[in-house]
Amino acid sequence: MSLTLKGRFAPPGGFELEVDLELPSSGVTSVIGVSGSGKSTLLRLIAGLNRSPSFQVMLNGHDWSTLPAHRRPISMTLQQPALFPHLTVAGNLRAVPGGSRFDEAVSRFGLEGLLERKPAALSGGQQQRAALARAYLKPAALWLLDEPLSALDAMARARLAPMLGELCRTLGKPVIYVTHALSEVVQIADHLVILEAGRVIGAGPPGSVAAELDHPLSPMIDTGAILAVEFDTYDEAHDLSTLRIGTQTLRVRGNLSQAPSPLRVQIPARDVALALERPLGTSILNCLEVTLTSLAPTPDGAVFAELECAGQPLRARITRLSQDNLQLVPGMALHALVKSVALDVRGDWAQLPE
Amino acid sequence: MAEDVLTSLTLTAALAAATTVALLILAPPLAWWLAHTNRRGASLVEALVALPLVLPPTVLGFYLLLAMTEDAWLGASWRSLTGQPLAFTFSGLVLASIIYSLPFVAQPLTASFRNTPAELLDAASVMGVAPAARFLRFMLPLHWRALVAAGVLGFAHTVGEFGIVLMIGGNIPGETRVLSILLFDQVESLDYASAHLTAAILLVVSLTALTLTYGTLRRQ
Repeated sequence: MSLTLKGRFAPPGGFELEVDLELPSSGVTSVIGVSGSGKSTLLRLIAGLNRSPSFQVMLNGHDWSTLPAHRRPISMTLQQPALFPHLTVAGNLRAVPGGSRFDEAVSRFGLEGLLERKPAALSGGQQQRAALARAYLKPAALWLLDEPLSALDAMARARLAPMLGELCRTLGKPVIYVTHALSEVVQIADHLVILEAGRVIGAGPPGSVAAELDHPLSPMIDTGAILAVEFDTYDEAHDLSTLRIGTQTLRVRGNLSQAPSPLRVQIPARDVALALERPLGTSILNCLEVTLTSLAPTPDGAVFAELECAGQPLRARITRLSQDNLQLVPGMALHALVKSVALDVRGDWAQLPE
Repeated sequence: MAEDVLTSLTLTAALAAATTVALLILAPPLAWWLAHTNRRGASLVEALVALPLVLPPTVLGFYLLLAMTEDAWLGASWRSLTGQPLAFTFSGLVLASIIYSLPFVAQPLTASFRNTPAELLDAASVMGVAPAARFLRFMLPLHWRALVAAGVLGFAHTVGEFGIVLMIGGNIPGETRVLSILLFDQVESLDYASAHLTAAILLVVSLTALTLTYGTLRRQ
C-alpha cells in the first residue's frame, strides 16, 4: 500500500524535476523545500494538473498517469483559496460534483454565518477555510495541501493551523502537505520528503531525516534536528513550559500542558551553539549535555557538528574557527546552548488563541 | 411613411436579435478555444474571425452573394434543406450578419477568457469538474460582463449594417429592407422629412441601448 511517484518532468523553461519516491499511503507526508525546489510541481503532478508521459503516479497499484485531473480521486487546496468570485460560499461548496457532508463541512470549518457571502467579503483565513471545506466535500482517496498557511497573516495562521492539524489527524486518508516551513508540520508529519532543485535530498520519518542525510542540507533549509520530548511542568509566573528529554530539560515559552504527547520540537542547526563547559551568566535558558559524534563541512564553508543528546540526534552549525578553537574531536562531551525561541513548539500546533 | 418605418424597425430588431442569439451560442466556445489553444492553426482562425473588421462590407457581401446563388454550394444546400432560396431573403441576411458581426462578439470574449485566473481552472479540475461542465457552469457565469458587452456590441453592430445588406439582401420591404437601407432610399428620393425620422430612431435606439448596458456594467 503506497503512493509511487517516479519519473522526470521537464516543462519548457529549464526547470527539471526527477524523483523516485515510494510514500506511505497513510498518515501525513510533508514535502519540504524552498521556492523553486519543485514541491508544488510534484503536487500538481500527483493531482494531474501537470501531466507527462515520463512521470508515473500510482496509488495502491492503480496507475493514475493517464487520468485527467478531474477524474483523479483527490481533494486538493491550492496556494490561493481559488474560490469562484461570482458565487457565494454556499455556491462554491455546492459546486462540487457529488459533494456530500455539506453540514458537516460547514461546521467543521466554522463557516456558519459566512455561507451567503461572496469571497471578496471574506478575510484570507475565511477564504482558506471555505477552500478546505470545498475540498472536504469531495469524496477522495488522497488529500493534497499546497502551502495551506503561506498566504495568510500570522493571526490567521494561528487560527487555521490547529484546524488543519485536527483535519490531518482525523481524516483517515493519506495527506501530502507541501510547505517551505518545517515548523508548520513538525507536529503532524509522519513522513518527510525534502526537495532541493527538483531532486529528493532526504526522505523518511521526521526524527531520522534530519540526522541521516548523506549530505548536509542546503543552508537555506535548516531542518536541524527534530527531538521527541515530554511535557513536564508549566511555570505560570514566567509563562515557560519545561519539557523533558531523557533526564535533561528544555524550557520554552507558553503553556504546553494541553499539547499532545510525546511532543516534537525542531531545533535549527544555526540556533545551537557549543561550549566546553556549562556557561554562567547567560540569558540562554537551555543548555543540554551532548556528545559530539561527527563533524561535516557545509557547502558554504561552515561546519555541521553532529551531536547526540539522550540518545537523540542534534545538530549545531558552527564556524571552522570555532571548530579549531574548541579543538573538537568526535566523542567529546560538550554543552549545547539552544535559544528558547528556536524551539518550534511555538504557537503553531501547541496552544493558540481562539 | 410611418408604416414603412415601423416595418423596417421590426425587421431590423428581428435581424439583430436573431444574429445576437446565434452569436452568443456560437462565439463563446470559439473564443474559449482561441483564448487557450496552442495549436499552430489558431492564428489563421483568429485572422479569419477578425477579417470583417478590415474588409469593406461589400467585399464580404460580394463573396457571400456568389455563395448564396442557387448554383453555388451554399445556396444549393440551403435550398435542398429548406426549399427556400438564401440570397435576398431574411435567412440569408441572418447568416451574413452572423459572419459580419462575429468579431464584435468573439473578440471581447476572447480577451476576457484570456484573463481567467489559472487557479480557478485548476480549482474546478481538482473539484472533479470536467472541462465542458467547467466552461458552461463556471466560466460563462464568471465572464458574464464580457458576455453582456459582447451581446450588445453584436446587436448594435447588426443594427448598423448597410453594405452587406445591400449586396445580398437588396431592398425588399418586410424581408430585407432594414432601417439603414430605408434611410438610404428616403435620402435618394429626397424625402428628407422621413429620413429625419428614420435617422433619429437609429440614433436614439443605439444610444439608449449602449447607455443602459454601460450603466448596468458600471453599477456591478
